Amino acid sequence: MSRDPTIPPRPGPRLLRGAGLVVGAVCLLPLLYLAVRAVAGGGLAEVLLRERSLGVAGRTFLLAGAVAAASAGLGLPLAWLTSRTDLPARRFLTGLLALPLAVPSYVAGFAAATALGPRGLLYRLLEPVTGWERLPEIYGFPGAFLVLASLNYPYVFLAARARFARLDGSLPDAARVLGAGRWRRFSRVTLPLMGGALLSGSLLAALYTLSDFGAVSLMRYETFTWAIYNAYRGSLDRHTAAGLALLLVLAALLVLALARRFERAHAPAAFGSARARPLRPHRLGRWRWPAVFGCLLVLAPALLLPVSVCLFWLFQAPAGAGVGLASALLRTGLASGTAAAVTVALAIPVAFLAVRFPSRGSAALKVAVHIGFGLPGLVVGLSLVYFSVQLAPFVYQTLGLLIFAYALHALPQAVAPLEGTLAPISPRIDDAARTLGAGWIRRHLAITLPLLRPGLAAGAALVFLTCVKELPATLMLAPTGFRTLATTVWNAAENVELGRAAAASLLLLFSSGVVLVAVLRASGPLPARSG
Amino acid sequence: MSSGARRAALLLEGVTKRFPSPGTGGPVRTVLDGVDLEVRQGTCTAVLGPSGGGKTTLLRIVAGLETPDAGRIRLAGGEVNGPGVFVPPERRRVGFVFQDYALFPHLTARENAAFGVPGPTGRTRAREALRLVGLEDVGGHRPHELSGGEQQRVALARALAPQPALVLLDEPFSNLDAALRAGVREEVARILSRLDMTAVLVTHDREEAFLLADRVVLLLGGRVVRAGAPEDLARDPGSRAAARFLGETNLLPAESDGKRAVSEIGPVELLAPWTGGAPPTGRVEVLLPVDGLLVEPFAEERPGPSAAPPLAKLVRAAFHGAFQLLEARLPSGRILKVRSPARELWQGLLSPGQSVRIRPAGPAPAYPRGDPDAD
Repeated sequence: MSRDPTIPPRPGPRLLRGAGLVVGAVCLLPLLYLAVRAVAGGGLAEVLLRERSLGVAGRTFLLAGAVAAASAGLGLPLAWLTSRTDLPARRFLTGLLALPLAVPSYVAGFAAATALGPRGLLYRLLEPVTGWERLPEIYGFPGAFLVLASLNYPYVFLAARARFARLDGSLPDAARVLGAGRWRRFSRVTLPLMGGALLSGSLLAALYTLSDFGAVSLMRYETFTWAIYNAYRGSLDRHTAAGLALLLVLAALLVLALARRFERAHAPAAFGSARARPLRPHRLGRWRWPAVFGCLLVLAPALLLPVSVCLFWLFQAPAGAGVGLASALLRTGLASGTAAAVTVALAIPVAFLAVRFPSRGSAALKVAVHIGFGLPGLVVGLSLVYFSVQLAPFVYQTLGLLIFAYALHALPQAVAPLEGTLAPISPRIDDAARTLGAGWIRRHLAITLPLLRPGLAAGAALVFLTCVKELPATLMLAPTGFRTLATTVWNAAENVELGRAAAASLLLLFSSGVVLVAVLRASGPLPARSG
Repeated sequence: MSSGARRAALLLEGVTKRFPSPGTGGPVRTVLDGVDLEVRQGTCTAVLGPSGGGKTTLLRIVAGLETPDAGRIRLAGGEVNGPGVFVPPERRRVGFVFQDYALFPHLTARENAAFGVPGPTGRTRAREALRLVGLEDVGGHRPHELSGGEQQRVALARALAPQPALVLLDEPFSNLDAALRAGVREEVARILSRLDMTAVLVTHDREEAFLLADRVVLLLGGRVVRAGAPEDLARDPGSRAAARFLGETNLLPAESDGKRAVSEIGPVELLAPWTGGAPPTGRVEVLLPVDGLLVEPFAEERPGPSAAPPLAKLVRAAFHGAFQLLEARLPSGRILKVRSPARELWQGLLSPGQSVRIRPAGPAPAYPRGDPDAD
């Protein structure tokens, strides 16, 4: 698309700019309010001075670092296997290996805790044979690490796959002609080119570990999120909660900024030729089937275990375990569906300003919106509780506020596919319609809307998926008695109603799996993890 | 062509447009500086200028897609831009062929062509327009299923279907590869002249402008520096800057007495300036087009008269089939470029190292030297 250099960037129509300003302000408001509360209320100072906070921070970063490292260690080899080798059933395995993204951490956490706990299902299986007293402890770090690493490695896996796919095949060949052996080619050419993707993917895995609430709460591992929730719940000690939340947000935004930075470093456009030569796949030989088995092994804690454990508990469930699940499903669909529509509507001005009218203002708006990626759902929930209780009590505990929280949380996911759809459309198309006599309404009904439909649909599906799984904000903001599938699973797991938790989990897995498959078919971007 | 009786289809008076410099909020850049332009009914005018020189902005202003900061525009007799007057693009009845075609990707070729004519007549007109551009067979195809040349013709059909008073073409052939360009260009010229359509085409390609237009307008630095028939521009671009932009020419220092100028290749008879008046005197530069020079191989046994121009030595002779492109070094070291027709079925081609005599084929324009205004 050639742009006439004599036509400069411009700020865009006033209506669009106004809408952008409102969306930007709305995105930043809860965060600013939280910051003000945390600092002015003394919560931040108090938290910083407490010795316990050090432990919380240490545990959080230990877990995030371990998950990031494990994600890189799993994601890179899996990406290599599925994109550079003659692995059997590559396409199918690729889809399967991305699927853990659709599994909420509290479902996997529930399954791991009840199956691998000291006297869990595995113990019951092994006990008659081995006569062991108990299995090693799963609660705490080991359980949280196992669950989050097995769910978050796809961030590295997918990023690395995308890089492998664009890697110019003549680069390793050039190294080979220059006399580099197999190891040198990998360490000096391939790995550095993959480095950016590897780092940004690992940092994303770390980010979603930082913001995870479901797994750490069920595994009783006190990281920031669980500590915040306990401070908020237990003592109504809101200053401490606000202080901890602000620290968490700062850490998350730092990680997000680093991830974005590395994502751009060595971006695919910067290396290799325009017509990249595809790489020859490596022959695995007799390692083919062991490699397939390895892939399936990675999937065990994320997919196999939750599904089988939930099925087991379901068949053991007492009568009445499924009471209220149908209405929970309905409510989940209602809240998430409305949120998807609202979010996509908010995303339209953001995407238009970013793509069509690039300027400092629209860049700032993009940053404001993308901060949402770094805001844990728990923090969004907490800040909106404060905000509504203090300044707008009439919205506290309404469905509207919950939907608003969902929209804030998921907005970046609606913006990205819309931008992707808008960018390749010539901006002259609107001009063409004007010179052909079409007025504002006809232009948007006949041209803009149909052209944007794929982006709108993909964005709505991604938002829907995120909201269906969302746990902490829902726990804090849902009107009394308004149970979604997510809160049903978590509450039932907390109350050791295993059958009920299992039934709700399966319902949740099935419905979000259906949506995820639809999204991947449309080759959408990565869904964010939540829960 | 020279139908002075035909009325103006488009009239621009003092059209000025300023943009803030890139790096927003910076100083203002004047892209169009008091442009006057008259396009007569049924003619094709080419606006020729360097890339980024405001040509596209000019077209967008005529279409109503940009608003000028000053000036008036009349379209088919009615004012569309002026103090307190602005007719929006959707009511101007101007066809526009965009550089990237801007075809609606979700509509078929036929639906694209019918877009500008709502209602049942749209289908008929679309069919006619597609037949006109020779594409009735691919009416059901989407743009991405068409070749570049076909997309270009669908864009033309779409612009013509509403029967506009004027059609504007923005670098219409720049996205086609060279092999396709010549054919599509001729096809478009044929269609426009068959419809007796008034057209304004902007291009940075001199050959394209000369080939397609009845009248060429040279836009340099946001101003119209020269306008006229292609052959007039080729003979006298009007200034040294214009000559340098048009290319395919040599500028040689000379001393003028107002009728003739004496240069390194001998005396050159001077052409009266296109603006009227007498040729400049004193230190000038004469314009010698590559096609306006005669080259003869120098024969030892036939010494010329004492007044004969000095000898030049060929340093390059590139074979182009129909002609040879020569570079000759004058005694001063200056290089002259000459396009020499290949005569007698390529007998007697010139070769590098040969000594030649060069003289002008006819009178040439001269521009004052060191006059910053003429530059």
